[in-house]
Amino acid sequence: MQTETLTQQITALHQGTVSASFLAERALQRARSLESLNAFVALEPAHILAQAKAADERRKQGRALSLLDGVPIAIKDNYLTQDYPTTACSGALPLEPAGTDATIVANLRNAGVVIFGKTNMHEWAYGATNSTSRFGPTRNPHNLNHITGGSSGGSGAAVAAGIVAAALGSDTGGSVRIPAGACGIYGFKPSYGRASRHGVLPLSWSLDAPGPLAASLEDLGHLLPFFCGADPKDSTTRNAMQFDNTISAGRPKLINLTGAGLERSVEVDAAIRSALTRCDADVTETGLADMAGYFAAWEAILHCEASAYHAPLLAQNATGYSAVTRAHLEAGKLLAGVELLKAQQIRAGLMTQLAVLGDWDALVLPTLPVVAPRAGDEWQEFGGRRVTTQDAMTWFCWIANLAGLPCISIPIGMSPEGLPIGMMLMGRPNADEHLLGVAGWIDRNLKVGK
Amino acid sequence: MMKEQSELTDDQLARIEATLRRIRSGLGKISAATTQEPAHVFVPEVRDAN
Repeated sequence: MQTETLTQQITALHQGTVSASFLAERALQRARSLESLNAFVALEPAHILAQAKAADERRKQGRALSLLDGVPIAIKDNYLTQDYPTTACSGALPLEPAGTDATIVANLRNAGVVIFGKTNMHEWAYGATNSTSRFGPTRNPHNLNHITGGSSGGSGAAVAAGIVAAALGSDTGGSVRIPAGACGIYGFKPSYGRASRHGVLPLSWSLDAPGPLAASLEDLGHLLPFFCGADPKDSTTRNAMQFDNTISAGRPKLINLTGAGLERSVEVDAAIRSALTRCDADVTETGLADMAGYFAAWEAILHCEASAYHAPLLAQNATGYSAVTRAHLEAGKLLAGVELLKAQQIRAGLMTQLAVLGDWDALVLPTLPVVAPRAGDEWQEFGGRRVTTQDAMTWFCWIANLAGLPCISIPIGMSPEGLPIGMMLMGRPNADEHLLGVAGWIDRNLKVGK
Repeated sequence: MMKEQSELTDDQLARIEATLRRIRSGLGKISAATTQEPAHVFVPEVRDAN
């Protein structure tokens, strides 16, 4: 993989050793040479180069808008963008520019970031394989016969392949962390209510969180200030603090979550245990009861909220949806109000259960129970389980969405067949900065031990 | 199934049924949470223009 971090690009621009135009041209060249990944669904070279030229002019005149002025960043196709169509990779929406930016896109554009095209995704973010898209499936840069995971699979592939150093994703049951884990990069899901969802096409209002995917942890620290903070256009962020990327953490207390409902393959379990041994942390291990019930609560909330959001469009254009997405939406319509409220009661119970686990800085899980599956494989077997590939992708990730916790996926190694393995760290509510610090401690120690 | 879903394929109907069965079975497995207030919150001041 040709990977250069966002931090390296920022430094090179600041030192004048590269220009924004050079970075943009090189990214376009890489995107063209890696079309087999199917990472991008909209890319306008002339528009990208014009943005880069403007950034170079600003920098020449000493008027750079921010550290990020001139770096190219790719945008998942469910963020509204004034200059590109936003389709959520669904056939149900027109291919027309929205004429407006999502808050996070606007924040980045105002900082001088070169908006580098729209990335492929699982239709409506309603799936975690990236195999279902109006534009066809994405392919894993580590092995084109394997999936990227999703739903931010195009963003994951674009960063892992070194086309761009960072990209935007959204996460309802792991959609930032799953492709980050499957493609061997870093992905961060902020606490619910920390990052503005305005202008990000919803999947599930109370589970959705926008988040960045990037080539390094330091890169995430550069990006999160553009995600987090109060946005008058998203009421859930009214008490959100700005992101402070200067916070570091000392030797962390980790709880490795294992047991029934949290099974994983032998190779993934070995990689997690090896990482925990090498990362110089205080590690204990415990299980979580009632996993099937918590998963059902997540799924009930997901389908009900998605059905409610999609009801008008589904009534007008049901054939614009894929068969599986439509089935999900129809299922959501058939759940009763009392069942949704039961799910919300169970959700409160999960928050309580996690809070009373004791004194911890982060809860540890693999990002995925298996390495990135082969494209076309519908079933995965691990730890005595046989589950659909879709369920295998979200196997651990949905917990952070149901509980609203910040969560990060970091790469910890490769399987014997050359596919990445990721480790997930879940933090306490609104302790996003501390979680990034804990991840930094672990990442540094794992790299030193290599 | 309901009349409005008659245009759904057999595969879609099977998926819907399996999804509902899985959710209902899972929700029925937790009894401890039933006395707790639901997690969703209603915050009136968010909608107060003043």
